[in-house]
Amino acid sequence: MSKRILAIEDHEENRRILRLLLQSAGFEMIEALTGEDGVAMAEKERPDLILMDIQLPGLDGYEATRRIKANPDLRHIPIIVVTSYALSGDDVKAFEAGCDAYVTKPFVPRELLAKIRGYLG
Amino acid sequence: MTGPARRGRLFRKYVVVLFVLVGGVLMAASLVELYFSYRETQRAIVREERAKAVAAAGRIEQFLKEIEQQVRETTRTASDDPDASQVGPAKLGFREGLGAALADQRALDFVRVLRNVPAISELSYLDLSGKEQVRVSRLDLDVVGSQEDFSRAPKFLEAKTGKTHWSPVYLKNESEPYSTLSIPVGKYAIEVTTAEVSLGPVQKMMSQIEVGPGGYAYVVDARNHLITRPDGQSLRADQDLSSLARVHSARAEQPRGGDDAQVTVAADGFRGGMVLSAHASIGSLGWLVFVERPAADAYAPLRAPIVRSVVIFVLGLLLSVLASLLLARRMAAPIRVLQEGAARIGAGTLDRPIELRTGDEIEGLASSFNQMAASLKESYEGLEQKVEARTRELAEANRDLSEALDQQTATSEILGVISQSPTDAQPVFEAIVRSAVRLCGATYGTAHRFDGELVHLTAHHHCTPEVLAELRGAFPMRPDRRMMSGRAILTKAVVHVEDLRADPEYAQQVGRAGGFRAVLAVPMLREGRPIGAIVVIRAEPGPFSANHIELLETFADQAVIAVENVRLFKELTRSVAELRALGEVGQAVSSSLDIQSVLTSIVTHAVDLSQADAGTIYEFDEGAQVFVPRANYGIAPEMIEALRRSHIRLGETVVGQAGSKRVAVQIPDLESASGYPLPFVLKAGFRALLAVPLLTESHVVGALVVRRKVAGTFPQPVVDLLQAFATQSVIAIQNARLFREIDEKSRALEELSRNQEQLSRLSTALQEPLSLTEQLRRVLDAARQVVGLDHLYIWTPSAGGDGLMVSAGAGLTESDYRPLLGVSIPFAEAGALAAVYEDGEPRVFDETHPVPERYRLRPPYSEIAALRLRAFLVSPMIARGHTVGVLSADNRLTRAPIAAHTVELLHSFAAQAAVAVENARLFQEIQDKSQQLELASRHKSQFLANMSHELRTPMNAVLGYTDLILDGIFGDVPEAIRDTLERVKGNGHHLLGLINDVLDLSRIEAGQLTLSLGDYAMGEVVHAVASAVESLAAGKKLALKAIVPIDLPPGRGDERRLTQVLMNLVGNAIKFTDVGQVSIEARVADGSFLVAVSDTGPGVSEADRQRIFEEFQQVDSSSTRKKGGSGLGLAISKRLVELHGGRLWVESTLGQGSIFYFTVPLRVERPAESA
Repeated sequence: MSKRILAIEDHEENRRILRLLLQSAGFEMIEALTGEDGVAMAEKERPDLILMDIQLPGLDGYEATRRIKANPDLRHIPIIVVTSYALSGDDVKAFEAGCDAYVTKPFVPRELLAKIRGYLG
Repeated sequence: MTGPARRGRLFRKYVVVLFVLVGGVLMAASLVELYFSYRETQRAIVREERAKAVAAAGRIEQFLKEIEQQVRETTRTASDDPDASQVGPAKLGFREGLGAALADQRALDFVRVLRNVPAISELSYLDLSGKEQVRVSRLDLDVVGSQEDFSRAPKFLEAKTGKTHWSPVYLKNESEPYSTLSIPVGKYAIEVTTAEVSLGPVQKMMSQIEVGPGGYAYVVDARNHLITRPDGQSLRADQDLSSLARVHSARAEQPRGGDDAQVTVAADGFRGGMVLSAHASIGSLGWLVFVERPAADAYAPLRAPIVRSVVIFVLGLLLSVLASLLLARRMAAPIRVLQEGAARIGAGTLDRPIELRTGDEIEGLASSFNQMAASLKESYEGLEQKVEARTRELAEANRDLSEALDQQTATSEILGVISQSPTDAQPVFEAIVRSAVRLCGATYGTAHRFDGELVHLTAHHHCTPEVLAELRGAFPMRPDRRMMSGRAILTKAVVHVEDLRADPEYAQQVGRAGGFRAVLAVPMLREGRPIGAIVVIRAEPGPFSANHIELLETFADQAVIAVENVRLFKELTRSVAELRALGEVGQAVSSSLDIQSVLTSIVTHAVDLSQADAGTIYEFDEGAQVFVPRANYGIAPEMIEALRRSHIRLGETVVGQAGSKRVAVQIPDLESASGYPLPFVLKAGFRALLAVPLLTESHVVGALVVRRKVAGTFPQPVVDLLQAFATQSVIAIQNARLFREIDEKSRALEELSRNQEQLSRLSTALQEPLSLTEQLRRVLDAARQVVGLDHLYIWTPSAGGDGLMVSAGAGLTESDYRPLLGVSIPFAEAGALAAVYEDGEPRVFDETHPVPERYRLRPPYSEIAALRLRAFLVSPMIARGHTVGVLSADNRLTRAPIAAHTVELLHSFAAQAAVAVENARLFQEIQDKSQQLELASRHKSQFLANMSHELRTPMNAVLGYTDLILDGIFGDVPEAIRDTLERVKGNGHHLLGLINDVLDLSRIEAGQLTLSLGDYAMGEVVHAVASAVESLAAGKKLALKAIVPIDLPPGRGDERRLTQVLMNLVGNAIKFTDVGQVSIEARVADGSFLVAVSDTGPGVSEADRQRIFEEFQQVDSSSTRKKGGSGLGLAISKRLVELHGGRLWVESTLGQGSIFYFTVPLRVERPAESA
């Protein structure tokens, strides 16, 4: 059974790129467009990994990460924050919110894949 | 326990022991024997009985068997005929006939038997069915064919079983025992013959048994019923003996034969008492024959042995008693002898040895006693001798001790005298001489003092008048060897002469008078110097003992001590007096500021202690340069006047000389001093003068003079003392001067300090974070306290800035204040207030300087009561050069005039208030500004964050898709398209780089860039960068070198940014170098990393070296187009390095290459302020 990855990202283009990349690598991708949807999706679908954008409408990526990690049922799911917020201190904030890894946009697709594989095997 | 009693005890002991021994043994033996005899007898009896029983049983059995036999003879039946066995009706007739014949026969037989056997009383014959056919009886009539039915009778039934049966015994005629014998007839069809048998013969048989006296025998049947009575009488009743134990046990035991009889002693014999019982059984019948004898019979044969035993026993006892008597005596005797001997030894008679010849241990003991006595005797004798010797010793020691005690007593006596008379050594000497004479056993004694020149006679004892006269004549004298005292003093040693007559040096005449013969003289030495001597003299020649010499030496020491004590005491007294005087003076000086009384006290004490008659203290008047008498003592008023008029100058008279020479000056005798400028002094009777100057370090302050009527120099101690007083006097005078000054100054100071205090408290208050109003109020309160004005106001520009309003007040009542609340007086109408505010000049208005017309307030402001003033003052509040308000004050209530200096004072308060106001204003400004800044900053960061995101998002898409395509997501990519896409990707990354650079720089500018500090290894950074650019360098055929020492310390900083910087520098180096090499070197220098990136490029000119670090600048804008780059890199690198607290610079030679250096501290804990 292929692993399922939840991508929480509001930009159409970025989602498209992720979809192309993940599907070519054999992963199944679920999508959410907002922070709240993302959290709900995580609870419903129990993905194997979450790719989280920070700049989201409504609930931002930090808060969504925090909520997911606060849920004992979801805590185990690795969250890789993928964001173009690259001001220093952003990564610290992301790690403080509880994410497991951090990638800045634009990302090198091969590198992101390698990171994902690192968590999912 | 007393002796005799003890003696007897041994004897008794022996007796008892032997008695017990012998008697006991005998007793035991007899008892054992008796016991066994008894048992034996018993057994014998029982055996006998048993034999008899057996015999009896045998006879009875015999008897019964005979009867059986007899009866059996008669029994021959038809049944014996084999035919008769087949019982059947057919055979009956035959049988019946046969039977009748047989019956007749039988009856005849029966009669025959009856005749033969007297015991049988009846015979009967029962047929098969138990019916009686024949009966023949001795007593009754014969009966034939009665057909009486005995089928149920036991006699029939028992026999029917085929066994011969004797019935249980029953009594006929109530006393005769009978038994019925039933004999079965025939083998198969059994008929029965019965016979009634009298057991009388059995009875007879039993009674014939001889069982000895008291013995008896009896028989019981199978049911244990008595058949024969033991007493031979006829049975009266049916007695059941089942209950008897022996019957029980007889029944129980296995039948056995032999004579071995169990001894049974039964308790219930027929005649009462214990019986020995034996039995025999008649097995076939189950009868028992008992033979019994009283148990006591067993004792009968014992009588003799018992008697024998008793006799032996008694004999034995007697014997034992005798034996023990003998033995005891034999044992006791020597012991008594020993006892006596020991008693003798104990009493002290040790010469008589104990005589004992028993040849055993007791003799041994006796000889030990003897030895003991001998050694005791020896030791006694020895002891006596020792005691004698000891006593002699002790007596001697006692003598010595008494002597020593005497001496000690004498010594302590003398010490006592010493301590009692500390001021006078005379009694001590006398005591010493007394004791010395007594203890040395001398006749006379003398004590002498030596003052260094002469020897004096101080004490004597027992000297006769003639002797005394001689002595008095001789002393005082210079020390001379011819006198014993002199010799001792001169030689400083003990002089011991046994006979003066034999001494050639001695001055004989002195001694002759008193008959001096033996002499002992001891010198008194203080620290090795002689100060006297003690002499004891005897009228007989002969030596003094060592003890005496020692004693006299002790006394001499004590005399020395006494003399010393007296001297010390005198000195002490003198010192004390001086000290006290000094102390008093000192106290007076320090406690009294009345200079006059102090000086008078000093001069009085000085005169006293110097043993002078008068004195004066002068003060030197600097102005007139004369000594003026200040305090006098012991001088007549005329002389004082004369002194005053004398105008004593420096150098004149003792006083002047003392003053000019700055030392003490003396005139020992005025008479011999000619030309003394003050003749009246001599005329007043003063001969000796001593003057001591009163000096400070620089000045002569005065002089102290003492005058004595007796001529002569004043001893040094006195001069020293006067110096001390002089010092005190200087202090006193100076104190007085100082005090005057201080008093004036302090009054002025007091007032000043009060003001200062208020002001300083105010300043402190104003530094606390209070509201402006509060601060101003404090200022006003403080001001009011200091200046004492009724009302004080502070006016500051109103919010609109167009007028003045009260912002604080002091001393105002509610009614005063309320009308002023919130009222802003426009500048144009504010009169004096506005004027002061504008020009910063304070103004005072009062009666003499009334308020000018133009400053008069107009309505509505003139309506305010508080402002309707004729006298008031206004002070500007100036801070930092400009007026921030005004302070006004008035005395409207008290109508007191406002003092001039009040304006001054108020001014300082106004300044304080101004500072407060200004501070408040500035503080507010700062608050506002920082709020604005923060807001701006927040906007900026938000903007940057947004820009960062916005710019990157589309870039992400562009690069992402490109990468995907190149990765082959959409299938193979033809070469041409791949190339193009690579270019697209390259440009995209370039654009991304530019965006990043711009963002970085703007963040740095905005101070938004923060370093994320962590530990890193510089070596790794260099190598990472080197490997990243390796391909780039290779592409341009440039050599790339990285030089990193192994031992670089770990660093702390932002690794990412440092990498960025190094990447930038190395990238630039490679970019701008076309040929040659690029090298990176890192090392440590002065606590920082020093990294150098060198290239062999074109180099950077002097002019450009600054420029290149500015934004958007490159060396050559044309080369930018060729080389690429945004021109931001170096600017960013510089800022990043500076954020670490480091430096970035370049050194270069045009045409040869450049080296870009940067330093960063090894450990960056906090980023430096961004420039």
